[in-house]
Amino acid sequence: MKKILIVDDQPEVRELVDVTLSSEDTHIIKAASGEEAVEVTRGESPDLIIMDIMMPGEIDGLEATRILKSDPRTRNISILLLTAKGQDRDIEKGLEAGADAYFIKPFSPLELIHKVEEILGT
Amino acid sequence: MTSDPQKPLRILFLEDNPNDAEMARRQLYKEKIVFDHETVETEADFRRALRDFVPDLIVSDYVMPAFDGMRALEIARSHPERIPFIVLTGSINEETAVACLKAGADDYVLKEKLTRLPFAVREVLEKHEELQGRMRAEEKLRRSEEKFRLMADNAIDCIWQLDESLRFTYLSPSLFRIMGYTPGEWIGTHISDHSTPEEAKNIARIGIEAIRNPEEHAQISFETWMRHKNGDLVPLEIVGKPLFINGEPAGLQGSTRDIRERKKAETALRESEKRFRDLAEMLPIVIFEMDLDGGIIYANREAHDIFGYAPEELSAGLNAFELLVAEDRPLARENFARRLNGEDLGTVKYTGLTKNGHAFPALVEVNPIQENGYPKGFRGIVVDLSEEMEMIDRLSASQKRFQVLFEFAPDGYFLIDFDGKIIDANRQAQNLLQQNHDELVGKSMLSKFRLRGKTRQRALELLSRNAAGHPTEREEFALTRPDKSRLVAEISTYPVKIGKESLILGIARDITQAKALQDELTQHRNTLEKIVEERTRELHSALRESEANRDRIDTILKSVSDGLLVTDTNGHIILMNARAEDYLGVRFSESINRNVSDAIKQEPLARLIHKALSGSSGNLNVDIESAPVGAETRILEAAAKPISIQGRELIGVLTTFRDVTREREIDRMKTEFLSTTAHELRTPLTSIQGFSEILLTRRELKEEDRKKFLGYINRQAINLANIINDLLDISRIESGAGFALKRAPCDLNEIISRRVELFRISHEKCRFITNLETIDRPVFADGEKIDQVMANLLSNGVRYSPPNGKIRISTTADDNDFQVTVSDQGIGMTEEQVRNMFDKFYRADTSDTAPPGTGLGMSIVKLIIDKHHGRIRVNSRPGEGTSVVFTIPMDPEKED
Repeated sequence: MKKILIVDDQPEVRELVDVTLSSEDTHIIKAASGEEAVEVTRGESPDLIIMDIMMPGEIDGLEATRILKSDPRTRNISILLLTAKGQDRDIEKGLEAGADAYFIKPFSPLELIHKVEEILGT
Repeated sequence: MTSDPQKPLRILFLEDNPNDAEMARRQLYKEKIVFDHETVETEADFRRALRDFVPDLIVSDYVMPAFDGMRALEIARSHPERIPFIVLTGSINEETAVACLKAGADDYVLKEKLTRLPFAVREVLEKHEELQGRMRAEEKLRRSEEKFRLMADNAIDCIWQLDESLRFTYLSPSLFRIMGYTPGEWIGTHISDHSTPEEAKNIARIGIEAIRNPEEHAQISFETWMRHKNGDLVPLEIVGKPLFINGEPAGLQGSTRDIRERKKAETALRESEKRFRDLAEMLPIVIFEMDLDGGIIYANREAHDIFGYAPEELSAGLNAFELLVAEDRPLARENFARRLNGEDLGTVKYTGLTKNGHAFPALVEVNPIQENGYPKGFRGIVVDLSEEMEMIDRLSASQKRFQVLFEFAPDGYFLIDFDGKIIDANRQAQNLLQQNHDELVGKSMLSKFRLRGKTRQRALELLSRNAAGHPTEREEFALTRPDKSRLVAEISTYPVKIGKESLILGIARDITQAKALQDELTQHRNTLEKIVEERTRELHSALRESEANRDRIDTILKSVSDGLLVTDTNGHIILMNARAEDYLGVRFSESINRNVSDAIKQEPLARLIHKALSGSSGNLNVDIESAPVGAETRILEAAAKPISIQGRELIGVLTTFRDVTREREIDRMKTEFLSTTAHELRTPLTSIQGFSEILLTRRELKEEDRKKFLGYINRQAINLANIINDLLDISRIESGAGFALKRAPCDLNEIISRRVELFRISHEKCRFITNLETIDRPVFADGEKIDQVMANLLSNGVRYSPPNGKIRISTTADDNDFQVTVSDQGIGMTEEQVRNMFDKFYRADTSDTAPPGTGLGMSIVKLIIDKHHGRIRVNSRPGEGTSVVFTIPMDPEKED
């Protein structure tokens, strides 16, 4: 059973990703901001985090990625950035922050499933 | 028998009868008497024989016819020499014999008794000799006495004799000359009678001593004084010895010498010696005396000083030759020997040697010291030449130096006498005149260079000025040289004294070139002056023109709205207009001629200008942020353009500054907007794509999920359409095409209230309060557009209001304008947000959680109002809500 954390401030997007990735093998938990993402991750230790970048609050998706990736407790949790920011520079920044994958919105749910399976090794 | 054994006896016979003579001779032979003889009979012959034959004995006949013995005897006896005379006679009586003898004959012999003759001869000769001897002795004595007398009488000294009681028995006449007394006056006086009492005692003592001890060879000798007749005390030297008469001591005899002169001489000599010594001690040269072996007898103080020996050492028998270096000693000895011989060597140079072994050059001159006509030593002087030698060296070195200076001076130097005759000319002089040394020296300047007329006169004038002791400076002379070339020289002359000679030193500087140049220069200058005059005129007119231009330029500069900065090729600021001053926050007056990077602290600007100067062909623009004190921050676009003359020579850079703050802001907002827009478009698309794929690929979806997802898709599609519409509006606004108003008489209140109603329905959480004032006329406006305005304003109000926030809408109108107010209780806006509100793409809140909007709304609103010739105003305070008021004319036609 893989625990997947979905982080996006927009409820529709959260629902979309949830519908896409829900299955017998997955347990979906959700967060709506960067701070929440860090908190929940520390508490729940998901196997994968799917994170939007542009979120309100002090910590956006990139910052949350950095925090989690520099914390020994959460370093090994895979993070996939799912964002509308699609410029080369943005991708660079995302990967520099420590993300393991980068997906641009709008996305194909099937492709996302494939990528998640790849990351989780299922 | 004869006086001289070598000389034979000579007998002169005086006999008329040869036989008698013969017989007589025979008798003598018998007795072995050796003799030469001559026989004579006449008086004349007799005299002659006496003279020539010079007999030792005469044997004469008593009686002869012509001449008789007595007569002969007479003659013989008158002869100076006494010649023994024997008379030979026949019988004779005693009377005759006695008469003969009385007459002076030595003997007589009878002819009958001729055998007696030899004995008589011998006897007579013996007696004669005896007599001669006696006579000689007597003569001797007489002579000696005479001599003595002569001597005594003529002696300068006074000869005297004293008896045993020391009384004078004899005094020579010189006494008078010496003491003023005649001998007679002193005879019988005591030897000590004529002195001072003390001296008398002394004299007496000496005399008594001498008398007491009369020895053969004893001699007394002493000096004393005796009183002259005139009372003076005369100094005397008395020498005496014992007097023996017949072998018995009989007193004293001796001589007395007047030593007045000697005494004077001695004193004079002593004084002179003293003077000499004093002088010798004073003089700064060495004076010494040495004996013939070189032993030093005397050396003055200077000798001690120079040679370093103590006085004791010098007089302790130091040899003079030791004062010379070893190498010089043999020569010195030789020279001294030659001097002794009478050769005058003058002064000789030796090398002296001091006690410390220091050698020094010295001049030595010696003269023999004579005593009694014989040299007893040398007196000499030694002059230390060290200083002189040094001076000579220095002088000759200095002379050499001068010689070198003279010879190799860069100007021509020459020496002439007052007649103009050349004494010397240095190398350069020879060069200039193209004559060598020999060709010049000794020649007259005037004739050598064929000076004529005025030139000659001038030269003569110079000479006379020099003769008067004045130098002359820098007179120009021109002459033609042997190779026909011209030489112009600047001559200065100075009267000088070289040694004893008065000469003239001339210095000639070649100014041929300089002169030629000068002439050329003068020509050029004249030409130049003409050119300059012309140019000046041209310049003046050009200047007048440029002044007019400058005024124009200044005006342009002032009015140009861009900032202008002109820098030269070194990056120094030449020009700046007022706008640039404002933009950059520096004053031109403080920046002029300073380096741009120094005056304006803007690195990108400095780099830009440098890039322009280096001829870079790249983009010569850069944005610089300028935040001058007391002014707002601006973004300036600096564009640099190199300035060159006719496209060739680069003379500087012109940089223009445009205030692009707003542009950049707008660009930023545009980029922001695009980014936002992209994001905004992507967001609905995410749902549309995502959910539609789910619907297509998941068969086992629940029906309610299916409916839900389709609803999402639909909603997001509409959203998307709205966004696109707005975008289209924007593009229209951007392209400036704008849109045309479709004006018609409208009931705006109606339109407004309908729109508000729609919002009420869709936004239950907000409270919309309307207060629409009734108006009696329609507004001539584009109703649709006003509706759009309302939709935007209300949308904003809703967006920024809290839940349950009130939104008030009120309208009012007067004769001219229709006014609408929409106010909310929302978060309000800052001044900046208010200012920028109407900008395209400006979104007051660009965060993602801001209520969706493109930021275009308000710019559309403004555009619509503007098109209606209306006005719109926004009042807002953060936290206190926002109020937007717009007015549009009732009837625009009227307004226009």
